[in-house]
Amino acid sequence: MADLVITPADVFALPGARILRGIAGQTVAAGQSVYKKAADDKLWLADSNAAATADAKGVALNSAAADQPLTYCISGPVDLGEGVLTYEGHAYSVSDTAGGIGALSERGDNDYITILGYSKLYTTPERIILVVSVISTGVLMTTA
Amino acid sequence: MADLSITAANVVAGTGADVEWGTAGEAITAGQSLYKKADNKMWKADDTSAAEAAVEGVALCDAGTDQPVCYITGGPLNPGAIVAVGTTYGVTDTAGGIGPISDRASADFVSIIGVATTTSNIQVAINQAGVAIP
Repeated sequence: MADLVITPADVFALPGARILRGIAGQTVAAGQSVYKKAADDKLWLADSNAAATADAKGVALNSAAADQPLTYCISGPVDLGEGVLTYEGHAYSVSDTAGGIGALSERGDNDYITILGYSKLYTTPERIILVVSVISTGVLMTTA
Repeated sequence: MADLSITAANVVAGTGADVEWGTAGEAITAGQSLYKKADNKMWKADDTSAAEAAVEGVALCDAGTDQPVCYITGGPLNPGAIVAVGTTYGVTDTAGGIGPISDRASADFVSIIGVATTTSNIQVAINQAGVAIP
């Protein structure tokens, strides 16, 4: 299964979401996973290829270029757009693509595992949304 | 003179700028002038009515409808375009546009955004005059 295909304009924090603000270190689109780089304290696109870049802090809620302000959800419900998520109860994680979000079950050898949240049916709007609940394990997956 | 031709990715607030956050009422890109509508959301400003000319600031990031948008309300701004030093800039006929006040014409509501201090900086100092040019 590929990464989620997210339309940035369709990404919304829902009531109860906890939101933080920061500065983008590079171009970031709403719906991408972000981590905070220690070297500059800015938000960069997360991926599962290294422990540092997999240490995601949340999901971007607006789009920003480098050095522009960025808000991101660190926990709680986020609407990623209609039809992006189709089933409840699935865990989603940082993927090996910068900023990508994919099914945790798709992670494999040499991926650092960071869970971003799980899918859940929401009522208004009635659709499957992502409940952000970040668990940055710092652990490299091995299957053999 | 036309509106500034802004490269959204190059719009950055300078050190000491005053910034605020709001919720976008429509799709907004960095570098567009914004006003606050009665729904308490941020919309693109223009000079065609007193309400829409009541500019609050300039967007510092992109946002879709109902997404968070950050905007500068005062201080240094790289507007992502070349500006003319000493020129006073304000809202224009175009939604979200920024252009020289000297280009405003009869029936335009005048709102000042700031004055260019270098070719890459506008010192933002909002003035919502609330009057139309006779």
